[in-house]
Amino acid sequence: MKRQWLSRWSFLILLLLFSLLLAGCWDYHELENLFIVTGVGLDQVADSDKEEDPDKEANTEKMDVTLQIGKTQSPSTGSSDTGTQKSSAILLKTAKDTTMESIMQLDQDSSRTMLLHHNQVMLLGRDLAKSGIENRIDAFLRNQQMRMEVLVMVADRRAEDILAAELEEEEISSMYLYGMMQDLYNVSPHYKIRMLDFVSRLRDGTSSAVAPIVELVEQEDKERLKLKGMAIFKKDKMVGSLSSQEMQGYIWTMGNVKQGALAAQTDLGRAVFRIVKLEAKRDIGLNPNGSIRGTISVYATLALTELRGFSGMTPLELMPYLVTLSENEIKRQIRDAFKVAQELDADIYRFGLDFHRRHPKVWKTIEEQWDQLFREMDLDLQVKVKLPATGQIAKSLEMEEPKP
Amino acid sequence: MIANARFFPFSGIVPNDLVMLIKNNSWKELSILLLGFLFRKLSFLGNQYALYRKTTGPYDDRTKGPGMEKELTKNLAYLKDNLSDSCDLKVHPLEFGPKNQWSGAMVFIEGMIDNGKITDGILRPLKDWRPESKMPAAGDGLINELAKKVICAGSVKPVASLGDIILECLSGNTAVLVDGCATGLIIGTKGWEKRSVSEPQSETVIRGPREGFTENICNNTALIRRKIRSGRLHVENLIVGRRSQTDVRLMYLEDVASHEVVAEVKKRLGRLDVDAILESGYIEEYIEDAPFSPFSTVGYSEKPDVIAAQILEGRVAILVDGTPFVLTAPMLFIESFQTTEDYYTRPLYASLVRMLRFVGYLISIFAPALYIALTSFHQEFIPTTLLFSIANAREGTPFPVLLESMGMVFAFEILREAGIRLPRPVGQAISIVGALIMGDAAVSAGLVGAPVVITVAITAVASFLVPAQNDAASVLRVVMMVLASFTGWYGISMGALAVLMHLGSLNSFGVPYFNGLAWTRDQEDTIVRMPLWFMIRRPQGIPENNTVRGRFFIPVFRPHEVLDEDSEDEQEEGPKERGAGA
Amino acid sequence: MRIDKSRISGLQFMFAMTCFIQASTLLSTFIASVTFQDSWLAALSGSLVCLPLIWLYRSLMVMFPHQNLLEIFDEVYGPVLGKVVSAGYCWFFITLGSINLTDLGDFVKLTIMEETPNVVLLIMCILVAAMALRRGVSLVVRYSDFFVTVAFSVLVISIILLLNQIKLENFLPVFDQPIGKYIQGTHIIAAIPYGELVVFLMIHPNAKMSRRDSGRYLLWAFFLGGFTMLFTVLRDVAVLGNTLDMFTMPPLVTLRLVNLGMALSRMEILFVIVLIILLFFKIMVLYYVSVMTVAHLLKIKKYRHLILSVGAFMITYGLTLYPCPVKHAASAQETTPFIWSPFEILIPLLTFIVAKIKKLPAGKEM
Repeated sequence: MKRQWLSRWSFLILLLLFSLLLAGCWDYHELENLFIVTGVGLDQVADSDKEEDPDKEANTEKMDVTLQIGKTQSPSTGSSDTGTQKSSAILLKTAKDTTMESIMQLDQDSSRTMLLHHNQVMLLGRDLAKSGIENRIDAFLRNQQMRMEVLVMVADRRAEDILAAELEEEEISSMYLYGMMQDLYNVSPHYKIRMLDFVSRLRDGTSSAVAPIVELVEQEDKERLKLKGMAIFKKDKMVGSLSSQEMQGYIWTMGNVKQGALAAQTDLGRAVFRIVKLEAKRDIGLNPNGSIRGTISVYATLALTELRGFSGMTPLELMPYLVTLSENEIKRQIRDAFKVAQELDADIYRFGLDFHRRHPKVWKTIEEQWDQLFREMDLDLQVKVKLPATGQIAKSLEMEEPKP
Repeated sequence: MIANARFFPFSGIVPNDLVMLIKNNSWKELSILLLGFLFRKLSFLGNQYALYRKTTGPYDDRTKGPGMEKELTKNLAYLKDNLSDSCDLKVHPLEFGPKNQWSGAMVFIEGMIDNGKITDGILRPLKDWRPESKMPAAGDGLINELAKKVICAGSVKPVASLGDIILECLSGNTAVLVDGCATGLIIGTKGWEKRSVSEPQSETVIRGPREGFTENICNNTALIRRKIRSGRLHVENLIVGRRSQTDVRLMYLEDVASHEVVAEVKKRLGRLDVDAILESGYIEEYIEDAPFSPFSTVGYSEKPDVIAAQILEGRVAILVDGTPFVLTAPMLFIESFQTTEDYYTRPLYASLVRMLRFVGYLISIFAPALYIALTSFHQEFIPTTLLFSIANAREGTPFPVLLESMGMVFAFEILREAGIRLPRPVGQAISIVGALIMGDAAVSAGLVGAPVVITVAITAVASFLVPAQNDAASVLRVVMMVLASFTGWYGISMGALAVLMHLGSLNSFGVPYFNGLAWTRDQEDTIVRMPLWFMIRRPQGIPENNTVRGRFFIPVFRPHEVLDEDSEDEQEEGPKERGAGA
Repeated sequence: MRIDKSRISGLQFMFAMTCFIQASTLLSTFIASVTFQDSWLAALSGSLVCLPLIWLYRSLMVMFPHQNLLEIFDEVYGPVLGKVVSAGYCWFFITLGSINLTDLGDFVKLTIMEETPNVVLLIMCILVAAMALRRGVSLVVRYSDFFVTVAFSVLVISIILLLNQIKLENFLPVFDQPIGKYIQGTHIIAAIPYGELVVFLMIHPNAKMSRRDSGRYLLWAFFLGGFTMLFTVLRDVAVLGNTLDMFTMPPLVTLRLVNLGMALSRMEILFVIVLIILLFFKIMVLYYVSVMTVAHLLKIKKYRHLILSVGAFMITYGLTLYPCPVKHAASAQETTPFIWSPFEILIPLLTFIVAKIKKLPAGKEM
């Protein structure tokens, strides 16, 4: 009995071993046969391409897909020719109907397989963003290789230019973008728009998605990437944008700000503050006349970092003055941003969602007309600033000495 | 073998057909043929194993030999014959008595006796012996008289069997035969050159006793006795090995050790029927529970304090003559992670080191497999910057990851083996050549990537944290690497689960080998080492009775603070407590 | 009498049940697309609804402390009808095992091994489980407390790591769905993780526990398991918000979001192994119970002969059960709870009542 069992087991183990050795490995990909994709750019098909190929004209679904691939260099060869080092990113580009089709096409055309897991950023070209993106991003949600952490950004002109940028700070521009967003995340989490946040807003129905805009700037032969503002989407189409200043106003409205600067100018002089902490509390309700009333209370703790002017004021007078000054400045910026949003009918603050959560019963009756309600909504803005410290010096050089 | 015939209709095939099959490209038949061949080989092994399991008769084959004759010459002739007329057999003729009326002979084996003992204990008293009253007649009376009054030695006993005389002589005792007597005397004169007690090489400690066992079994027994001066410490002698007739001693605490375990050990030792026992490893291999498992189910140590601690926990120690390595049974998996120093250093640090050892063990098994799985299956899970550095290192290396890491692991095993066997100075040179030059050269020549070298290096270093499980770890490491290269992370997790299941199925002398970090009292000495005063009970499962080590009491923490706060209470309760303690 | 003679302690029995419930946390998927942000309410009410069910199982365990479910049937319904009911349960257990087996395959395929054929993954799993089964129930449940500890610590760690992404507003609005949806969600939760505890009626004779203990252990297992499930759902809702119902496996997406800077991201591989282990445990228990049922039906004392054949059957059955995961999810939402209900609730209840009327165990005990 025992013997039979043993032989039967050994037979099974043998079979398993054979299957191990013969059948091969399915998911096995050597690293050197992979292209590590670090960024994906989606663009409207460029005009020049259209002329070359008349077929494309008929099909407006086509888009340019640009993949940025981090180039790997073997350490032994890399060290020898540092002088003549070229860009360390490879750009591959093709035009197909969908993202995955393009990626598969590029897969076929190149020597290696695409590894999409490490994609850092999805860049949308401005034109594509304006024409609607809902049918473009399914691949980024469905595919197992795509992560929900991928950053969503809009390129000021074409996404491929951003991906092709040769920067001094970082060899691969998408890694630079990732670093930039991570840095801004520490300022406020609302700067960093991940795929999850983006999709979450698209699914709200009433909310408008936002995404940071990057711009390629050339300064004295050097290319730099700058954050230009925020794109505002209505449904899935980009309808406008916030400027840098207005973006700050938007971020403050969302609260949870841990860093940042605030400059205020008056006739007397210019004061620069550092934001130590900024919280915003939001409340939303229905006015008796049927319009929507939103209340935003901002509580900010600032620190004074630079002063210019204000001569003739004693520190004792100055501090309350600075407090009101900064409060007004915050109010102004928030209102500026809000005005832009209202003009575009775009609820970037997710007031609609807030209303839905607070008053689910009423929401059902007003959901249809939310756009109009939002346009006519009045914002009740209260800002409270605390300015506990003046920094290392109490008086500035320009200030007048109090007379004895 | 019906199964055989059914599965492999081609098993009786001749080589000609084989050639034909190859020529005809009939790969299907060929593979069936090969399978059949391997299957037969394996079933042969299975048969052998079954045969081994069948041999269960207890061995009792000690050569009794014939009884002694009265004539001295006949006895001597027999002894010479049966000791194959060896030249180191010395027969020293004696004549003694007041008038030298008795003749006899002293038989011993050169080199195994202590010359001083023979001169002072046998020769001189015999020469000087003048019986006080009447002369005893030749025969048992004389032998008794000699044994009781004349010979000065620690152990003197009469024997009547020539077989016994041969055995005793072979173990270093001296036989005194007297003409006309059918009994002889065996006098304990063992004495040979031996290594003195020294610090063991395999288990060095920073804090703790530095003595180690020697090759002499009596010495070893004494070393343990010096640690446990208990009357309940039972020592039992067995003789194992048809030819080697090796002394094997069992030591255990009668009132603590489980009777089932003791009986099991005795049963398995009794089942042994072998030519020789040269080292305790022989015994281990014959009595262990799972011979084909990578995990050993019998513990061993070279240090008396370790063995004493094991005995105190209720285990049985098996001492074997001729080796400083003492076996203990039953062995638990967790034992490999407990070193004596854990109990000599303070508990906080000891716990930290204990955890480190667990982590090190896991690293030593899984690190290369993880490297393979991550770099060739799940690049997703490597942080991007790290992935780039690994990819840069991998760029341009010619071999697949599995081959690369297998090669490095193999190279490491070679270096280790070479380093151990060679004398220490040369060994160091080898490790320098191996580690520095080979590793560095291989990387800079682009043969292997630097990450592999790092992985294998950390694996190698980590494997030294748990030396007792080193052999198991080496085997499992390779298995895990193969599994990882087959189905990546899933393969590793299934492999780990299989190892867990295997560990769970093991028993050591009827005691479960691995309790799976279960929520039991044993946790106090598993991942952490609780303070000694906390561990008042012996580990679960091993001891049968007397599971309590001592009374539980908490040593006074910060005594002066207590005095400050509760000085009144202290005075009241002080005498009471002392009374209770007494 | 008993086929498998190995014994387990009451504590192990409890942890085995906890682990069994925890293994179903992956299935919170099924309620996510039914009750959305109120899924945690469904999890909670589902758990509470199950309390009487737990009491029912406990009473059966106490009434027949030395007989497993099939032996109870034999005694309560007589040899013929009992066998028919037992055959039904045999199908139920094997189907359950096969479904969980395919769950494991789908999960692994979705997360780490995209291209590997399902059958290879399943064979590996069944072979490892078979190793454990050969040693009987004592090895099957031996590591349950270890697994439970690991599962708990992973839950706690993941919640801590995700603290900065948790938005409590995601729970609002509460009670926003039509009432029918809540009932559906509650039913799913009741039938899938808790009702499946009926398999432990096959194991309880092997556990060494007193009358009082059995109830206590069942309740504790229920609380620990329910706690895990509730907190998993809470975590997923708080992190994913309104995207929860979009994903096929919300817990996994949640874990993938753990990110502590560049170096400490992408750690979900650690969570994946825990989920694999938990599913493996559940499969192993179901596999064991299936083998025992088959052995009992065929009156085979040496159940070891059956292990591999039952395993092979479970693999093939599992592979042909559902054509795709979508269909699987749909059936788990709609049909499965109704098919399972008789086996998990009705028949045990009927057995209990009939046994009470016949005053069966009392006569037997004396």
